[in-house]
Amino acid sequence: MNVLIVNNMAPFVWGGAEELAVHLKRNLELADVSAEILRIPFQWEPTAGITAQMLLCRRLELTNVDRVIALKFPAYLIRHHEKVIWCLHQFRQAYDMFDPAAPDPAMVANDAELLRAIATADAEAFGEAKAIFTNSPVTADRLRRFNSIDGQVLYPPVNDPERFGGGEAEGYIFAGGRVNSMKRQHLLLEALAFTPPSVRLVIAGPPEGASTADDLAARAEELGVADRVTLDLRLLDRDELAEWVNGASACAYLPRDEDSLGYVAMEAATAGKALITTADAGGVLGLVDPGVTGWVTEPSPEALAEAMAASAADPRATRRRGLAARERWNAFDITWPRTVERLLA
Amino acid sequence: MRLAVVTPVSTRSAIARSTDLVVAALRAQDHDVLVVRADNDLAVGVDRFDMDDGAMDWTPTPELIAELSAADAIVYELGDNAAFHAGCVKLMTTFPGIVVLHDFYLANLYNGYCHLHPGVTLDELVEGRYGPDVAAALPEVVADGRFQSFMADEAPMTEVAVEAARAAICHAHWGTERVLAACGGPVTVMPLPYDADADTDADPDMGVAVDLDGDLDLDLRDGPSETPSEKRTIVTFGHVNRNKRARSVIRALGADATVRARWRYLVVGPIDPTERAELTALADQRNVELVCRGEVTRAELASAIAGADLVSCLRYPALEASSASAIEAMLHRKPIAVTDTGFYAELPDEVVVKIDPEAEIRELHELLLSFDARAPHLAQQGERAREWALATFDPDRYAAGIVELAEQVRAQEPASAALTRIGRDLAGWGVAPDSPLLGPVLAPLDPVWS
Amino acid sequence: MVPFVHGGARNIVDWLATKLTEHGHQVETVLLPHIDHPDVLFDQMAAFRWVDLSAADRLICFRPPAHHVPHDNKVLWFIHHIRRFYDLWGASYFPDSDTTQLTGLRDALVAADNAALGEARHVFTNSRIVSDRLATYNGVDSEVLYPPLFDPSAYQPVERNDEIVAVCRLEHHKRQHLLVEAMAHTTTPVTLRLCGTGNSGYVEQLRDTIACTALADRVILDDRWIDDDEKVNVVNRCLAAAYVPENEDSYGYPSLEAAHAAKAVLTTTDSGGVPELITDGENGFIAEPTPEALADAMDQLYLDRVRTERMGEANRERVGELQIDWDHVIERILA
Repeated sequence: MNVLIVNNMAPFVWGGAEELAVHLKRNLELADVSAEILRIPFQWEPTAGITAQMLLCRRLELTNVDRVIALKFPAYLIRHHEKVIWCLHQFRQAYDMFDPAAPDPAMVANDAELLRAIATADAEAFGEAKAIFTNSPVTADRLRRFNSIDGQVLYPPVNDPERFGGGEAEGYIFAGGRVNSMKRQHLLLEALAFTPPSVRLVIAGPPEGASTADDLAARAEELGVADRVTLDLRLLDRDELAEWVNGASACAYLPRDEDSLGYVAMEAATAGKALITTADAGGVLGLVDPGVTGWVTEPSPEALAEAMAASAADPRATRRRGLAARERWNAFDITWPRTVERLLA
Repeated sequence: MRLAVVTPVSTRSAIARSTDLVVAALRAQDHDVLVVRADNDLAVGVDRFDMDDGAMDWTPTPELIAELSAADAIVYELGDNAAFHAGCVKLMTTFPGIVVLHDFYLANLYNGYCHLHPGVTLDELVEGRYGPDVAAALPEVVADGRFQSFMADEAPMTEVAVEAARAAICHAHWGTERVLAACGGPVTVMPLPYDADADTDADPDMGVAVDLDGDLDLDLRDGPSETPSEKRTIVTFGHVNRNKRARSVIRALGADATVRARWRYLVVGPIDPTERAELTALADQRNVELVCRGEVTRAELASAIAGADLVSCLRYPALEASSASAIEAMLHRKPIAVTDTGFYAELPDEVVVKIDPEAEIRELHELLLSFDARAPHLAQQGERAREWALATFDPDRYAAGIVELAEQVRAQEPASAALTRIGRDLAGWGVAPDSPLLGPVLAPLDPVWS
Repeated sequence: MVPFVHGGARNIVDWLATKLTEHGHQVETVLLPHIDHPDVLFDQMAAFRWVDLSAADRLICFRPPAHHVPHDNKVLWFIHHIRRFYDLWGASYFPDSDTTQLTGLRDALVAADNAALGEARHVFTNSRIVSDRLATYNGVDSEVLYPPLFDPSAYQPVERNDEIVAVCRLEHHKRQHLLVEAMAHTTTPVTLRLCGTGNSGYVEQLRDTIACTALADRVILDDRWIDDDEKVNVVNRCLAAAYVPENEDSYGYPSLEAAHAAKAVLTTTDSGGVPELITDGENGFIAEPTPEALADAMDQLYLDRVRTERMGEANRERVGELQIDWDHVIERILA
């Protein structure tokens, strides 16, 4: 069986979806299926060019392929009789991110026509699919609201769970993932200033935006917490990342309205670490049961400080919550073999 | 090559006559030609050219659709007459092909077609191509009798005819501007094929002389000259419309006693009674001998031409893409006076006498006055005209030209077909045919597909 | 590309990408599917025209219709046309070529290709043959840029045993059967080794021929996938290499591997591109494609070892003459 994973690509950009495709391929091959990734270039700006690129996906011809697993707009417009869509995201600018009151200035003048074209093409593509999965309840909800289509939630598994075996807590709270204002690492710094001096914080991950790294360092100085925070702001290799996670007392992750459980939270739970997050974190809350698997606070420095201090104050209780987080995660049964099985059903 | 030719087949059509020659030439060149009758049942009559094997009329039956779909190219022979060309209008947007424009003015065709075929109105067609202002003026110009001149200036419908065409063939360079602007495919100019000798065996009693296309079908037998008087004869033939300049001919004849005494004026072809009365009155007033022959048989017409000393092909304004009358006269070796305009202006100077439309009475008068003195020269000119016409209006060359154009069209076909499918995708997504979204879709294709 | 079909055409892309990266460039490889079915040729061409790679400073295009991707700074390393509409037009396995529709399609394709080729700032090819075709069919001038091996350094003349080796896929058009039949006509103890995976029917046929001609002791048929180390080992130790395909576009990687190992190459007059590398009597033999002629050449390779070795060394020098190396490729392709 030849399975073609169809994804989009922006030249010289590598991100979570690219990584997911690679791991899907690897795990399909582990299941004795030959797999290959097709990466169709997609440049969404200027938006005037989107129609042509939708047609591009529509006009490609596939042979020698028994099944297609398509991941994104407009890649999933590709024609194939055995097409499964695992929708990581649609073109959100056309749906939930489109605000009629304040339209995206980058949209072409007659954006209504483009939006309709995108919605119609989406309906057509989903109509052709043998099965439709989404990567999170949020994506499934959008699909239902905007396209009246039911998708089954199929969470992407942790790509390399073997790395996140857990380990002895070394007394720091770890905040991983991409570093940007949406992920609110600055809030953790501000919270740290309200915690007892024994609380230590590690922020590690690739900074997005030219001044992000400098801004965080400056903020730490300003707040007087520089000696209690480690800023490891770069793209870490997987082993380095796992080492930080495995040695953490607890893991903090504060995205704003995340679609999915979030790799950061999933990896932490895999490693048996308690989770600190905020009530507005979206999908992440699926893993965090307050008082059981971690802490859920208001997104304010003071409230967060309380949770951070508590996690540091009672290492044994924190460890218990971490083990409960792992149990909660395992109950989801989100593994690659199970995922591959569902995608090939 | 497999060709379908949608054309009138009635012997009453001059266009059918030229198509018949082309079809024979194409078949002689080993092409497979299916003739589809474009005439309305009434217009077809019983007399048809040989090209019609009776296989197909233009009713879009599944058989016809299959044939048209299988053809390498479809050729539409288009003239300004709905009775003869209704089938072309019906089929040519659905099955785009090569449109042969026998006229650059097609308002009568579309007007007639719209009257006969409910579902499409002239207003809509005019508005679609020429805009709402032009369409809005239609009732008024119809009411005050200015329809023809208004349409000629504002909405000759030429563009409408070639909008969907894969290619167009014109018979003269003048007038191609509108064609080039509207036709997406190649536009080529070739002289209308005509063959003097092909028809010599036709039964002169068959058929009606008058051709609804506006020109006349002729029997080209060179019969003995009629010599009813000592006078010389100038002849105008065809449907006697205003643009055939009969009044100017009468005025030129009446300009002085010498010419009046030496010439008479023969008008052959259907004529409106009012027009006839007016011309007769004018001739009487100028003391000019005028004979209006009315509708005649082809044989009678042929002998009328053969017996004439000078043929008037004065036309103003000249709306025809090509003139069968002028070609006919050339094939008869006749001295011909033409208006220096349109198709006629494109004839070589050494085969006709060109008359300035701004000074037609004076110049025609001079020609009539000096005719005897110039007779040997004019006779030579007649000989040259015949040779030139035979070489130029050659069906074999024309047939080869069609095939060459069809090959060009065929090379465009893959891109057109792909564009059609792409258009379907877009239409399915609700993108309008004139949407600004199309710009970035088509722009990258232009450099490699044009 | 065709999904799940790997071969030389993908190697050249992957290898160039790796070498460009080694030279400090940021490289992204874009592989898009394509089939050459007449009904969808132009739809796919449109799809390639809509590919937006303006984020790249330079675009390097390989197989058609990749040359249709628009870019202000595009070079082509053109390795073949859509052959059924070009050099294979009218070939027996495309029997419908002369229908008027297909002729029209071919004319349209050539016109579109001409326009796309004209957009490139420079056109390279992988062989003289492909350059000649571009000149003949499209009127386009091009520069031959021979594709090097990914890492030729492993190939060395370790020894010269009695084997003539042919390492490539076992396929009818590679004509290993000619070599087997030739062995029956040899008069020396020269041996033949055939290595590679391939078409099972063809392999059976080879096996039968070997059995019937009682050549089992002098012909080794190793029909399995061998890794690079094993291949290097076989080539480094052989007497000479044989590569006898029918009308190939280029000299072929087996010839180049032999050349790097300083081994002479035996080929045929109708092999297509191999004579671009090999000159008869200089760095190998170009024989008539008959068992007898090939047998004669094999015997000569066996008997005149001094000459065989000299031809092998000349073959290695020839690689240098033709500038078949990555530094040259990268210098030219980024020029």
